[in-house]
Amino acid sequence: MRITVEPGKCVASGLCVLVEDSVFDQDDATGTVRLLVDTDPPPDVRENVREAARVCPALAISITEDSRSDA
Amino acid sequence: MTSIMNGETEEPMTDAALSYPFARDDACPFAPPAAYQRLRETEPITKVRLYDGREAWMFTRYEDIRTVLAHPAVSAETLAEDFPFLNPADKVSKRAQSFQRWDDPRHAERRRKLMPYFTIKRIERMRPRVRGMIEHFYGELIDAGPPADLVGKLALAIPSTVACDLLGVDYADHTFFETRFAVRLDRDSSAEQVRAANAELVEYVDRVVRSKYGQRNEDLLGRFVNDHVETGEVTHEDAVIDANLLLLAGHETTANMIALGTLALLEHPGELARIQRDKSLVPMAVEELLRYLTISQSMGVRLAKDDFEVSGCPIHAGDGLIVPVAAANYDDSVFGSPHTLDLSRPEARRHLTFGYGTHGCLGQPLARMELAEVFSTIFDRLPGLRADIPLDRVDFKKQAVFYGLRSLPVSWDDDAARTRRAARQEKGD
Repeated sequence: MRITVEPGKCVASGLCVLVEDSVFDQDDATGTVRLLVDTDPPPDVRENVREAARVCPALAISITEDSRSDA
Repeated sequence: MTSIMNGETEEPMTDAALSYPFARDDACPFAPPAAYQRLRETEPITKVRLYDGREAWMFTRYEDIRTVLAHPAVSAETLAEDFPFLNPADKVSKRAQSFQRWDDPRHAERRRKLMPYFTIKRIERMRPRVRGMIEHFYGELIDAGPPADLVGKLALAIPSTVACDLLGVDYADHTFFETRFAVRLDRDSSAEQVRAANAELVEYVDRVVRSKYGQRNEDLLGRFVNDHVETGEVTHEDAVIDANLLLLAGHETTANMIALGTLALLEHPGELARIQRDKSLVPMAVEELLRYLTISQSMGVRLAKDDFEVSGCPIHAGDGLIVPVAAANYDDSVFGSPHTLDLSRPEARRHLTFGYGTHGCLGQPLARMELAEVFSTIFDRLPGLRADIPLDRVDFKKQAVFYGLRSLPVSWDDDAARTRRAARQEKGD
């Protein structure tokens, strides 16, 4: 799983951090999204990462599922 | 079947476009108007008629509402000639709403100046202070003893105090600004009443903003003045309008959620018992209450500024767009059994109560934190909390921009009552 974020689109709803704060963080100076992990987060948080992408009101989170690393 | 229209007449529904806004259903005071569900099942993209005779598109499916709210061809600019309004007062009120009513990139540029104040970490740092403020109001209630008005003494007092503390506004003025904002947010207010209330608010907030000049400030409005107004980036007039929005958004919304949420939990004792047993459920319970109650009744209104399509339906530049987030939050393709309050609903976070797209609520992390603090403590600090009147006599704000309660008389078991009961039990009666 590869995660990419677009801070330029971020509206700082904070939802991604609330859903999975081991992967998503916010920059103190701008308030916009920042990744703590961008590749293959632990399997037990991957569904949360997907949920964060689904609920992001700015569509600022993209996920590329890699069948090899997800297996 | 009773009319779902705003007027008294029972117009045949096939005749012409329905009049919007719809009246709420009296049978369930928590649910949005039943018409949303019927339209979603029959005509999910349809035309409704507004007060001035103008027609607008209305969307009732979750995905369509998300599409519209996030679409680059959709405008929130209320100063636009063609922008649709819900009544004359709505026009006056929404035209005075600062960057919230601008489009990107101008909107994003202003919003970005405020975003650092609302990060999760920053809001977490406020939590102990907010907890102290909440405790202060519990203390006042407990000292005075039951009965009390939950709205005035707690639901409005807490977010109003928090907003004043964050922004740097004197809470001693709370009655002044609360009453003026209430006029502005009442759909039954006339355009003239809204204009007058707004003028008083602008004059008041103008004084607050002026008081921040020429000194280093720690509060949000003061920092905003230091960082952006004194540098010449933002005009004083804009700062006043923005401050007005922040003060309004910071108290009235959360206040309605506290009042209505408490009542909803009291009406669902089984659900309440679940969060009382396990407080770790509270954050998700807050999301479900935000979905279930969807207090925003007038906010999802937009204008198409270019041609585009929604689920194959062509929309043209200049068309009015009605996107009621309450309809999205009760779409059963996303939220199973939407009329059920389920405090551990796994998909609860997908609600659109804070909006969607670039205009989503800026203060949502603060609102979530305040609500979680209240709902994890109120039933412990006020044991046996109960409404003193039946549900059908509760004073709901049916015609407000944000749904809520005007007042809620409540009682609880205070120490004296518990002592008396214990004494009675000891005597064996």
